[in-house]
Amino acid sequence: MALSNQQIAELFDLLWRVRSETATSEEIARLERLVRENQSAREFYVRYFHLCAGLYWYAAAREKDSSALQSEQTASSVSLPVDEASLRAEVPFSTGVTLEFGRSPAKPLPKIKLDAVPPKPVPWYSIHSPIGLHLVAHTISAILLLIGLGIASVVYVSHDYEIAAGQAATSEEDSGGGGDGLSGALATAEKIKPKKEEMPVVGHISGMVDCRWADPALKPIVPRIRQGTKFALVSGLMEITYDTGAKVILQGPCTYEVESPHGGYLAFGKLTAKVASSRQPVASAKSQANHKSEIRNHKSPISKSPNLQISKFAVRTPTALITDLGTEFGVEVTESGESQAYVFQGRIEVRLTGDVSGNESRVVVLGADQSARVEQSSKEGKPRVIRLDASETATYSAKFARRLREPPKFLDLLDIVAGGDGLGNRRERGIDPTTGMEDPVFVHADRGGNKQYHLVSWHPLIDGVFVPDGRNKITQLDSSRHFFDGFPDTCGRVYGSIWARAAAVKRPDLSSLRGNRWVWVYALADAQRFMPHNRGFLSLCPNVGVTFDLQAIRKQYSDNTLAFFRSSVGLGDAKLVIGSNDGLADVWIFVDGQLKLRRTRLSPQDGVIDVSVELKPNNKFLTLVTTDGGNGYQSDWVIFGEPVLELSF
Amino acid sequence: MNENEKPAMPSHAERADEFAKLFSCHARQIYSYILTLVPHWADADDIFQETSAIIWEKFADFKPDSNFLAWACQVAYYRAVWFHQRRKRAAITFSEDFLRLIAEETVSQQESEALEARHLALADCIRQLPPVDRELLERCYLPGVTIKQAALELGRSPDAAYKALKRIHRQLFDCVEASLKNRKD
Repeated sequence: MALSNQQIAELFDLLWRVRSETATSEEIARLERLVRENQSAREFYVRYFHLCAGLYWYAAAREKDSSALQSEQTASSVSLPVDEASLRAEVPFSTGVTLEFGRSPAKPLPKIKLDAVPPKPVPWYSIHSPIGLHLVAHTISAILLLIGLGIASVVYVSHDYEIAAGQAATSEEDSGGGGDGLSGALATAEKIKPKKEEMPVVGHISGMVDCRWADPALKPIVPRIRQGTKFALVSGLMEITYDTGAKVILQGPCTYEVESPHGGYLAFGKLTAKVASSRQPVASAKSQANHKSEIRNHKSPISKSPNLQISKFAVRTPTALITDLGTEFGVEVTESGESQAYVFQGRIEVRLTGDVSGNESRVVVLGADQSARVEQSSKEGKPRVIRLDASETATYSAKFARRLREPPKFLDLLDIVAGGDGLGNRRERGIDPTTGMEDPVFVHADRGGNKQYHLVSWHPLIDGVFVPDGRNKITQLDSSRHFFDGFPDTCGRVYGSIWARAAAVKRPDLSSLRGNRWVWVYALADAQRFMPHNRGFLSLCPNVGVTFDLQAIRKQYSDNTLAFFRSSVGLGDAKLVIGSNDGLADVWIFVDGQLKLRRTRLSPQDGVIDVSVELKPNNKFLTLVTTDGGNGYQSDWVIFGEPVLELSF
Repeated sequence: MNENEKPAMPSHAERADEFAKLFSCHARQIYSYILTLVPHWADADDIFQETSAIIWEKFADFKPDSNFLAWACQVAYYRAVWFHQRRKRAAITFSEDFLRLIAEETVSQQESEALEARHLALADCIRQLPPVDRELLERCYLPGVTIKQAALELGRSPDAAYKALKRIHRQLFDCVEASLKNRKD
């Protein structure tokens, strides 16, 4: 269906907002609906972003040309001709020793060196991986830019403001003139305009749950947070992660300002702060004094002193300064302005705002499960810090939200195999055990292994896959180069995908399949016994190994501890489907290369076996392996039913 | 060479050359693909980098006679989905089925329309812009330059520059479409 002029205009507006990250959730939803419902809108969408890509590419090529020209000519105002060469410009590689990816279209990218030995099997985020190096390079570049040049923040701040201002202007144009719409939009732009353009990014919004905002104009539209940003929540929870690693959960209703890279001002309401002590170097007394002095003065500009880079995290309230000493704590400011703090773990110092005396009535150090309140002294009429006794704090801790959501009880390995993060319910996708690439459909084909361990680079939580075969003498189990030499000889081939099968699926028309090849994963007649909770199963038809990256999983779910791998294991009975009963397979489970479970010559008659493998905090890899029992992989329908990583807290 | 002998494995330098050649041929298409899934250029740049690193890391698995672009786009797709998943908890973002829809559409347009022709048409359209518009466009799209900065340098107000840029954007889009249509006709 062709687009009307009105639809085209609307699409242009929506795409412009999306591109500049100013689209609201309603606008995103509207765009998705338009694109879903109309093929022409889909084409329009793609062409629009092809145009954007072309412009970025063009600009990058022009800048390169311009720089080259400037180095040759003294004249600064050269008007370069537009030529096709700019758009034909290729990524400026120098093949051979060093490959420069680039310049991405709009900014220079770090180099990736190809002169190293063949890629080491390391997780993608590792500092030893190319991406890890990128991240480090980016970080260093950003620091240099911020400290040395002071440019980056100006760019971003200005850009955010002008997007809003520009939208205001566009609104004016689109509405045919000025009026309330324009002034409102300009007011919005003014509100999000930072007070000081040099304010740096100090963190990002790492989660929101059911947030409602006191002032819609202050609703955050981009996840990054600049120093000086204010949040006024009516209800809901919002988590801020500072670049230092400190996390703050704001609990609506509350008003909070991100005052510095190391803290903020809670004017009203409740928050919970969690600061990992290992990530916060001990500050010198001088730097702490500087920081306190700075944070006390709400209006003062933030010092660029390097000492502040190692300051401790602090929350200022109207009456107190609560300084972290490596801990998790809650702070509340009541409507009357009274402040109260509670320590979940570690220690904090509660000090009256402005106090430097060290007087005990004005400074209190609290440990775990202790609380203190700042209140007016009835005798002297001055504020003082009062340590509360256990009876007064017994139920107080429950007032604070320590997590955005109830933590999961387990991570679903089927969801992970199907491309998810373990919290969802993805199914019906899998992995090619011979390459590690994704299998979007169950590949009912025989594939041979090549004795190599293959990284699953597209999925951060899966380390790799392999085809075990004792004839290779030793088999690599994970990217940390744990090897195992005890696998029996196998045929060295595998049939089908490592597959996350849903519990309820429509069985395909088997007669339509090629030849006599059965899609066993759908043909199973006794699958239900492996999935009592209807959550599906993992099919691992021999000869297959798959390794999950426990460290990456821990990194993603840092509040949780991986306690156990649990699953049911067994063989589907091929006899019920095709009359053959020669299913025989071996199941192996390893943790960091150590064999934790081995069941050899498993047959369908062995029924369902419950498996539980304890995981330690320092374990890095979990490896599941099946081998063919010595009689080939025919009818070896190995099933891991409802496999999960159980969590503890 | 005896026919039973295995061909010699390419050296690391040869593989690097082969990769560089393939990557430089398809870099723009990969970037365009990513930008349709992650519309903000800074995020797209990050994913472009990640994708570049992953496909190099996995290049040993790439079969020389298969489709490099499709392979790279598949990797980019999962990086983009992963990016949106992480971001979902923090901010508004596209749904996964929408991303899949767009990815399919982009791939189909990669096949049916030469991106090269589109970019050449764009060069032609930029050339047709009035000098004042071209200057604004070039300044605004320079890395690290904001619309406001560009506007001030050109002695224009940010609001006016923003409006003009939006107009130029649409003008270029219409011009490219018309140009491609004329070529077909």
